[in-house]
Amino acid sequence: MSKNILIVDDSIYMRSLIRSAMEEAGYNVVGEAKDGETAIDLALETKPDLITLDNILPDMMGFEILKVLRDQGLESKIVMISAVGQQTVVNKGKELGASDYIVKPFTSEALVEVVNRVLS
Amino acid sequence: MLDKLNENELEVASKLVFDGLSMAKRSMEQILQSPISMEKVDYSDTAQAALPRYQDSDDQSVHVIKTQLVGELKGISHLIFSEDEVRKIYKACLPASIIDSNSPESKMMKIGFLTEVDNMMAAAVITEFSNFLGLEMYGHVPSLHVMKASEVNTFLEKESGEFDSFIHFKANFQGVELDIAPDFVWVFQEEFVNKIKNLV
Repeated sequence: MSKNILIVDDSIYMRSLIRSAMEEAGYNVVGEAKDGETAIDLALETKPDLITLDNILPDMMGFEILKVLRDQGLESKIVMISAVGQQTVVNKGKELGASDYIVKPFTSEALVEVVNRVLS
Repeated sequence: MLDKLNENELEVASKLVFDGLSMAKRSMEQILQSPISMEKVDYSDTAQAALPRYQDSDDQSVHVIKTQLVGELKGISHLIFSEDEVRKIYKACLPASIIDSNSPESKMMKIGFLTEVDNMMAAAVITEFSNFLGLEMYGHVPSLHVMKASEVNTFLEKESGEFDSFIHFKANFQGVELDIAPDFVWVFQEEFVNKIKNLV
């Protein structure tokens, strides 16, 4: 059975790009969220195997979402996605329980490789 | 404000700006999949830091994508494309089904692509500054402002007005293959100068 993915990104362009990459790699996209509130609701409702989580959203930081989800006991793997590649930011994401951190711009192949590795 | 920096500090600041913009250039090349060169970098700390390209412009539409910095250093970045450049970028980077469609979703995809270009370029500069200065800072969600070319400089002046004291960095990028030459304009609050002074 294919694994379930939730995509969180404020940009419809990025959501579309990530969805295509995930579906082509055989994953099932269970939902898309463009803000933090929707992301938390959808994540708790669908309990996906993995969430691709943009770090800068209009209403919340990805870190905040990650913390809320972990506090709620959600065990989904989380791959943080951000254009910002500061080492402190990458470390913070990992400290909060993200499995990996990918910096934009990235290729579909690179994203799939990270997701495959995290889910393996 | 720049005169507050001694020669050594100014050299450090210039290198930092150059390195940040170089990273932005690299991001732009990766996103657009086309070679880009950085033609010119200007520094200024006056409100009269107008872009000559838009001083006597016609009424062609211009797309200004703005990213506000949040965190320990305040500032704003602006990536500026002419209408013609936007069309060329769409043609090079988006599928025809989106370019030719006027559906709300296609329009959002086009805007989303432009804001992502800015997001990645701004983030490249932010990452360089953050790592070098040891500051926590992020770019907020970018916003697109479409205006007449003749309105661009007034818009930028107004943006600088948000700060009591500020410094401008302006770069022009050239993409020969795509035939584009967007401007990338940064406005930082005076704190930037103090951070450099503390560092050197």
